[in-house]
Amino acid sequence: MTSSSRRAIGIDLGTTNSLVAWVTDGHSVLGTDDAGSSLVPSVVFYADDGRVLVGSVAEQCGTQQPERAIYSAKRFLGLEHSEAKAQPLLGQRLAEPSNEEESRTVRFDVGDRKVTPTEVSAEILRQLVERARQPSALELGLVVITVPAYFDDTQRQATRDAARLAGLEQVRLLNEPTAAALAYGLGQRTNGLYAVYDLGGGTFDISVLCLEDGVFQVKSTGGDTALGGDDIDKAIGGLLLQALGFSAELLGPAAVRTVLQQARALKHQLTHKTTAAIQLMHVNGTETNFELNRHQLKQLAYPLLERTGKTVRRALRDANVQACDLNGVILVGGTTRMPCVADFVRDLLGQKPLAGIDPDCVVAQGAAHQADLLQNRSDSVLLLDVLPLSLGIETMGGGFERLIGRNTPVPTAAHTVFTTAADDQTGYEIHVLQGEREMACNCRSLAKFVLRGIPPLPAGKARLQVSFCVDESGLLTVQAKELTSAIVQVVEVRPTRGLSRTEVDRMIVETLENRETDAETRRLTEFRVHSRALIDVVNQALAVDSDLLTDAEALEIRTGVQRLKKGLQSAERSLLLELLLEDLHSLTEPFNERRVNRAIMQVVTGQDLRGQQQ
Amino acid sequence: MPDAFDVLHIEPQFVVDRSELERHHRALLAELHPSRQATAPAPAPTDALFAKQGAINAAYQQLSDPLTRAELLLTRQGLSLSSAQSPELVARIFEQRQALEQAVSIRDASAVSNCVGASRARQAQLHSALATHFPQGAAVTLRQTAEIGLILQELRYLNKLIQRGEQALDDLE
Repeated sequence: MTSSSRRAIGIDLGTTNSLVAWVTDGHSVLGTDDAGSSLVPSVVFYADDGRVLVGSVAEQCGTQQPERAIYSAKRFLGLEHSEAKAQPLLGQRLAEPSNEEESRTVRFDVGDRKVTPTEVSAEILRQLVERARQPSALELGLVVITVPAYFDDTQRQATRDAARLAGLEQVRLLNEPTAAALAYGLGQRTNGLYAVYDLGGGTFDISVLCLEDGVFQVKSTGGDTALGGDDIDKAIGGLLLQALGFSAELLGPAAVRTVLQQARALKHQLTHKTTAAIQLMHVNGTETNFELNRHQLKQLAYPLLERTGKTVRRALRDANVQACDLNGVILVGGTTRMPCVADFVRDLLGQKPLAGIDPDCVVAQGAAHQADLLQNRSDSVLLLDVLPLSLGIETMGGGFERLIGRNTPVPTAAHTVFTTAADDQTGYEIHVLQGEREMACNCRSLAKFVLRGIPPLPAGKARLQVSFCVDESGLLTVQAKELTSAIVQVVEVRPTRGLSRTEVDRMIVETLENRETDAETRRLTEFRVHSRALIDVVNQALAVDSDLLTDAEALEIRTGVQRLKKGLQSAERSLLLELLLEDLHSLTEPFNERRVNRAIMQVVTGQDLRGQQQ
Repeated sequence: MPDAFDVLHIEPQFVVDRSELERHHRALLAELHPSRQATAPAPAPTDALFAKQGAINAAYQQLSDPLTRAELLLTRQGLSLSSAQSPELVARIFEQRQALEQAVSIRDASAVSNCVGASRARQAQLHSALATHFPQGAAVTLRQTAEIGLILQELRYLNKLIQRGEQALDDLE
C-alpha cells in the first residue's frame, strides 16, 4: 500500500469531547458513530468484567457506577498525585501512591484496578482510530494529535505516550489554536494578523498568528492549562450545593459528578435561554426549584474571563501588536458558545469574532488538514509554531537560567556551558525546568539528571555543556558533555513527573497481553519497543565511544540507525522491522566487543583512557 | 564566524527595517522547517537542522533588541566600551529601582505599572538617541563611543527594571 492511499487523520483529544477527522478531496470529514454524532465524550468506563468502554456509552454506564468512569482525564495529564489531589470538586477517586515513582503521576482508582491519565487518553485515542478506520479496517497514515498550545513538556510527553500506548507511531503534536487558524485560513486565504481565543472544557489558549502567503506564523501564545468550562460548572455546582445545604468536602466523587452534571445542564440551557431551572432533591425527599439566569452566570464566569483577559493582553504584548492591529478573531472551544464569553472577547479585542466553523469541530478539522498536508508533502502551506514556556536549568543558589525563551519558534536548539564548583568534582546534577519565574522553585520541574565521569580537575576548570533541542511537536531532548575531555554524556533524563519510558514500554507490552490482538500486531508492537531501545543504546554508545570505530564503520552504523528509525515510522509489517533490527544488531557486534574490552581495560588500569587519547 | 547580521542577511547598521528582519527570519525558518526538509533531495540530520534553527532564532533575538544590536555593531567595528560607571546614572537607577520595590511591597499594581511605563518611555527615548549616534554607512567615532557606552549602560539597567516590574505585575493581577 502506498502512503497516499493510507488515511492521514487529525485528532482533537479534548477535555470534555474528542473528535477525529480526515481529508477527502480537499475537504475535511468528521468521523461519526452510527447515530451520526461526531463528538466522542472523553469518558472512559472500566467495567468490572474487564471491558473498557469509551464515549457516550461510557457516560451512560457512569451514571450507574460513577466510581468506574473517568472524566476529563486530560486535566490530569502530566500532573503529580499531590497536584491533582489539591483540586476542588475533583469528581474522581485517586489511588494513594505506594512509592515515590507512583507519586509522580496521577492514578485513578476504578475499583479493581488503577489507571493513569495516559492510559485513559490512550483508550479514547483507540476509539477514535477505530472510527477513522471504518468502513473496512483502512490502514492509517500520519496521525496529528492536537494539544493545548500552553501544554508544558511533561503534558506533551504524556500525550505522545498515550499515542504510543494506543499503537500509534507516526504521530505529530499540533497546538490547538494553530490547528483552528489553519482550518479558518485555508478557507479564506486572507493575509493578515489573527488572534485565536480557545476556551475549552479544561484549558485556555490564546495565540496571535500572522498568515502570509500560506505561512502561518505564530507570533506569541499564552494560556492556562487548568482553566475552562469545567471551572464554570464547578462554580455553578457550588451554588447548587449551597442551595442544598451541603458542604463539598463531605461529598463522594459520585455525588460530585451528579452535581456537576446538573450544573453543566444549566449552563447549556443558558446558551439559548435567558433563564434556566432544575428540580433539586433534598436528602429528606422534598424538592425545590433552582433557578439561574444569564446575568448570574456572567457573574460566576467573570473572574475566570478576567484571568483569560490578562493572558490575552500579555500575548499581544509579546507579539508586539495592539488589539486594533488584528484582522480577525477566531473563537474555538465549546465554552465560547456561552454568550457572555463571546461578548467578553468582543469587548476585549474590539471586534466581533469570526463565525462560520463550529467551535467544537474546528480544531479536529485543522488537524486533519495538517495531517493531509504533511503526508502528501505539500509545500503550499507551512505552520511555524512557538515554544509556550521558557526552558532552562537551575543555577547555583536556586536561580533559573533561561536557555530558550517563551515564544521562540520551534524547532530550535540552544546550549550553555558551566563549570564545577569544587576541586576534583566528578559529578554534576542538572535540573531541567520550564517556566517564567526567576527562582527555580517557582518553575515547573521537568527532569533531573546527574552528569558523571567528569575528569578530576581544579574547581572551575571542567567545562560542562548542556544542550536543549525542541522538535516541531514542542518536545524537548537534553544532552550534556564535558568539553575539556570531549567525554560526551548522552543522558537518560528521568522525568520529575509523569511516566518514565520504561513504564510506558511495560504498559505497551501489558496491553498486548490483555487484549485480543492478532499475532502480527503483537509482533509489530514488540519489535517497535525493541527497536526504540536499541536505537537509544547505539546512540549512547556512539556518543561515548565513537573513537573505537573507523569513519566507515561509524557511518555504516549511523545509516543502520537511520534505517531502523525510518522503519519505526513507516513499517506496517513486523517482518521489515525485524530485518532492520537484526541488521543493526549485527552491524554493532564488533563495536560492542571493543567497548567491552575498553571497559575491562579501564577497570584493570584504574583510569579513564579516553581522556588520554585526545 | 558569522554574526547575527550575516545569519539573517541584514545590512549591518543600527536602523533595521523591522518588517525586513521578520521576513528574513520567517523565510529562513520556513526553508529549514522539517516538514519542508522532508521533500528535499538530501535532508540534513535533524540535530544539525535544529542547531541551525537555534542560531537563526538567537540572531533574530539579538537584532530585535536595539541594545544587543548596538553591542553587536560595536563588536563588528572592533570597538570596546569602557566599563566606567557614571555615578549620576547609578544613583538615578537606584532611586527608580527603590520606587519599584516600594510599589511591589505594598502591592500597588497601578504604581508598579507607572514605574514600568516611565521606564519604557525612557527606553524608547534612548533607542532613538542611539540611532543618532550610529551614522549610517560610516564608522563610529571615539567620542560617539563614549556616549553610546553611557546609553547602553542605562538600557541594561532599564531592561532589568522593566523585566522585574512586569514579573511583579503578573503576580499582582
